[in-house]
Amino acid sequence: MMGSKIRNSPKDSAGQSMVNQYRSNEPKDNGLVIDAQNVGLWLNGSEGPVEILNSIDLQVRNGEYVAVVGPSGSGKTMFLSAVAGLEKHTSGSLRVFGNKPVPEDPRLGFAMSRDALLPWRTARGNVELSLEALGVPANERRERAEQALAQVDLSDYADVYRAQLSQGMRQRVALARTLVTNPSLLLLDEPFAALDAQTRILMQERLMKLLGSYEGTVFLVTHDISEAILLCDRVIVFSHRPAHVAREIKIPLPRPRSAVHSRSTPEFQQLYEEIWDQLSREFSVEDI
Amino acid sequence: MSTIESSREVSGQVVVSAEEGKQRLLIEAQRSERRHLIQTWCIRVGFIILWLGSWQLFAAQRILNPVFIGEPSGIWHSFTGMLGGSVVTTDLRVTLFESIVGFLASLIIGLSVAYCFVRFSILERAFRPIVTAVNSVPRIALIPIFIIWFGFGPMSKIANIISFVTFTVLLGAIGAFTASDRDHMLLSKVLGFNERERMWKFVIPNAVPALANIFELALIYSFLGAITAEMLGGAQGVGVRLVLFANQYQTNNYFAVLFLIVIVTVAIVQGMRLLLKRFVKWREVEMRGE
Ligand SMILES: Nc1ncnc2c1ncn2[C@@H]1O[C@H](COP(=O)(O)OP(=O)(O)O)[C@@H](O)[C@H]1O
Ligand SMILES: [Mg+2]
Repeated sequence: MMGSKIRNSPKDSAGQSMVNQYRSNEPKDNGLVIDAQNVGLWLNGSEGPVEILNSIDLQVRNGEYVAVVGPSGSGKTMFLSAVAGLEKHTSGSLRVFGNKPVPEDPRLGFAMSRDALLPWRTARGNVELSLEALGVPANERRERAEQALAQVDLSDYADVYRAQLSQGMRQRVALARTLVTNPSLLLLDEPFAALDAQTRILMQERLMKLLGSYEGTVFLVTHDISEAILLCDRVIVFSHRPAHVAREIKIPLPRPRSAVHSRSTPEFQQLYEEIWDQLSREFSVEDI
Repeated sequence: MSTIESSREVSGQVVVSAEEGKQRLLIEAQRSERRHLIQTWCIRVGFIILWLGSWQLFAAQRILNPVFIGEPSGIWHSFTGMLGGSVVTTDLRVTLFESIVGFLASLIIGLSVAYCFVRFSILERAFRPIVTAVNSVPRIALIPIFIIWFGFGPMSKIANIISFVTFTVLLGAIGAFTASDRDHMLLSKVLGFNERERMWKFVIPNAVPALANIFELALIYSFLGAITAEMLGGAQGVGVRLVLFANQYQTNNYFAVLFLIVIVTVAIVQGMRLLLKRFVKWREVEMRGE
């Protein structure tokens, strides 16, 4: 499904010429989708420069699912923005698919916690937006948007405006908008943070099902430790700001996992505590 | 009403089925809506009758001098007499022409400049104080200058409209263009849209409902601008007529012209609303929430 097209047969996939353009000048593809070495990032705050990322060292291999957890304000979103080419790091080296990251790269798919749906477009129109950015012709756009909506079980809501959708449905439209371009690197920034607890579990279940046929890489930022364990092969804990990688924890749980039942296993509980222990060391007094 | 009959009475209490409950709710909603509509129109019509009636009475009883205040029946008589006459065929036509040309020119200039200011923020920063300064010139004071430059014809009226309606459009449009949602702006970057696409796919659609309100205001101001300029010096136009009628104490004719202007303005504003309805529909859906 998603991702597979771009990597295996670039024909007939989104913005084909762009894919080729990005592939042709790949200097070295060492199998690393994200390669961050001593990445530092400063921002100009209202009271002078602020150090957001101290030194991030992390590698994500092709096809891996990696989660980042960390105290809020530690710089997770900032790092993800740097990976997406939206923010510039100020020191170290950051390569995505072996290149300097740029937001126009069609292999990237970015999902945020707020759906950011455009209220003047229907659900289908919102999904088509990602394809418009790649210059996909109108009739193909429509068809692919409808397929993507079907994947998230919203076929019947294609012509409906944002105001008529529940929060969970909006998030599903946003997910369809991210998946419709067949990205090979999914960047998820707290994708379910805006949902209530039950809807979140249902969405995690749904995402796991969708990822069953996905051959790309997932890089997930979340504050929800269970979500990180459930979805990923590896969890990276960021320190408090300015962030460095405090710890990496492998998740050896077998797949398929269940958003409901996997939580109650002792292995899961043990991993949860391990991550929580590390995380709690990173909280500062102001956080509480 | 078969559903109503189906309600049963159990030990003195009426038991209502779910289907029937739904029916009753629907009927109740329709009733209350009709009631509101009737009330609204009663108040509206009642007010107008009271207003015109007392006006007519005061004038007929000579409590107030009808030479100064006119009288509704006389105004109506003047008004119907004007239809088809030169007030409509010449003066109203000229005023409409000036207003609409001035309105469209102000719209084009105001929107283009606002677009450039928002797209290239350096321009806005450079020009903002100049815009504020020019906008604080009392525009009515420029009308004699425009008449010197462009004569007594429509050009001086159009110049007057442009000189202030452009600013109404410009300042309103800058506000509308900069009221975009932060998440939408982030999304446009995430998806890799360029600046031009960002304007056309995100900023402008978001601004349309606010722009529609600004257009309405601009249209009304355009009529104001044309008539003001005509009153200060012109060859033709309803403003010229107004001055003429006032000088001759023809109060009924004076009010009849005002009535004519109100009717034409309201008709044009309604027409524009109809034209823009398609683009602001989403806003209504959003406000209603369903
Ligand atoms: N423009 C800015 N100037 C200064 N500090 C900023 C700016 N934007 C974000 N920050 C700070 O950067 C830190 C990292 O933010 P973020 O990456 O959003 O954290 P999180 O880990 O919660 O996603 C936060 O402490 C925030 O206060
Ligand atoms: Mg964040």
